[in-house]
Amino acid sequence: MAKQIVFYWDFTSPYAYIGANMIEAVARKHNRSVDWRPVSIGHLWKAIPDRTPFPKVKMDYMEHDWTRSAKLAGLPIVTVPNPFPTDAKLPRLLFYRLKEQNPTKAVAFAKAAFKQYWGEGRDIARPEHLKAVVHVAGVPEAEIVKAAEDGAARQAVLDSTAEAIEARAFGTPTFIVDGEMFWGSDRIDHIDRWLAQGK
Amino acid sequence: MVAPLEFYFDFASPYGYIAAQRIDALAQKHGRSIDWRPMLLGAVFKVAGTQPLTEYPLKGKYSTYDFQRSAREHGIGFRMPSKFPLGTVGACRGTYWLKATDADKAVPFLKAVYKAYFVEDRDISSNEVLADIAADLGVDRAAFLAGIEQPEFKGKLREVTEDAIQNRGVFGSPFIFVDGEPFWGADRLDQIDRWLSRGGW
Repeated sequence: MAKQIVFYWDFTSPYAYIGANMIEAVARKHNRSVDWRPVSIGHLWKAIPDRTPFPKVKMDYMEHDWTRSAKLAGLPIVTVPNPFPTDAKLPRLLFYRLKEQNPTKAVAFAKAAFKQYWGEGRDIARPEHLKAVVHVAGVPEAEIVKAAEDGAARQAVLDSTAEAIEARAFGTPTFIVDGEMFWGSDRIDHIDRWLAQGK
Repeated sequence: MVAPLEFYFDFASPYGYIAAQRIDALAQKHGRSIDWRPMLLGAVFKVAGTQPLTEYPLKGKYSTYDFQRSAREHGIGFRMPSKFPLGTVGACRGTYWLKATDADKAVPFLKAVYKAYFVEDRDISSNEVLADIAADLGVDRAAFLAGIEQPEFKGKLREVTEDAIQNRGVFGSPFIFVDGEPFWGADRLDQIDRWLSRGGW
């Protein structure tokens, strides 16, 4: 069986939102599946000795760019959700809790949560906002409270974050295709061609 | 008349080099010309508080890898120069001097400088090397060496770089403006293509 495409991401990354809505079509085209692995971007960054500074002029452009890129991908986008960034701990836990039960449902939840935050600008750190999201994904509301206390889900976040750090990821989305690392939603085209050429 | 694509770049920028190999076909497809504007990224970094991509841990190593993969994808010759980054003042001034005095040679010159650096690993921070490159295009060596010392072209480079930073929001290379719309990076050429086809979105 062909290896899965490992997809490291966090809800707070606009390019992960775009990538989350693009990677599956490319994977399917090449008979690959995607292993969705949310990480804590805060912990990932803490592990990096020296991060790229983000001057305001660059931040202004990036906001413009992710908005333009989302629109090009046909995705709703608010540019800057409120608050940005947010603490995505609870939706991450819920994702891993759902993944354990039913990976397809977990992905549906992830996409709905991404859309809520980036498409509608509503804070997914707040349980009341997550309720609308779980509805869309067909998940019972009670799962939100349970996720907050789910030790296995917590461990899964820690493990995935540690693995992303180990893989030398420094941002999200990061994709690992047969050991080859691709950073950014703008590298999904490369992944497509990489898989087509077998290298 | 439609506006040219404004192509800001640094001669020591690998993604600038890659984009420079692909921008002509793109401009041609949409009936646009290109206004080539070499600038000094070092001055940009100073203002922005950043440094060359390759200087960052993790990201630096990945980017060096990505330069090569990106060049390979498009069949563009590339090897990481042994001296990187380096000073590009002479290459920039030389381009502006040629633009003013022998305009047809300006683009062949800047392309040849990029190739000399990213394919042949020559030291393009040396004015002598630059004069050799110009001479290969039929430019008089002595005139070239004198040209790049003229205050007019020193001033031109300073002016373009300052304007890019102060007024255009340029913080990296390549930085391409399409009818005022900013695009940063060689990986945005496909978006520029679609932007021009659709008239934006």
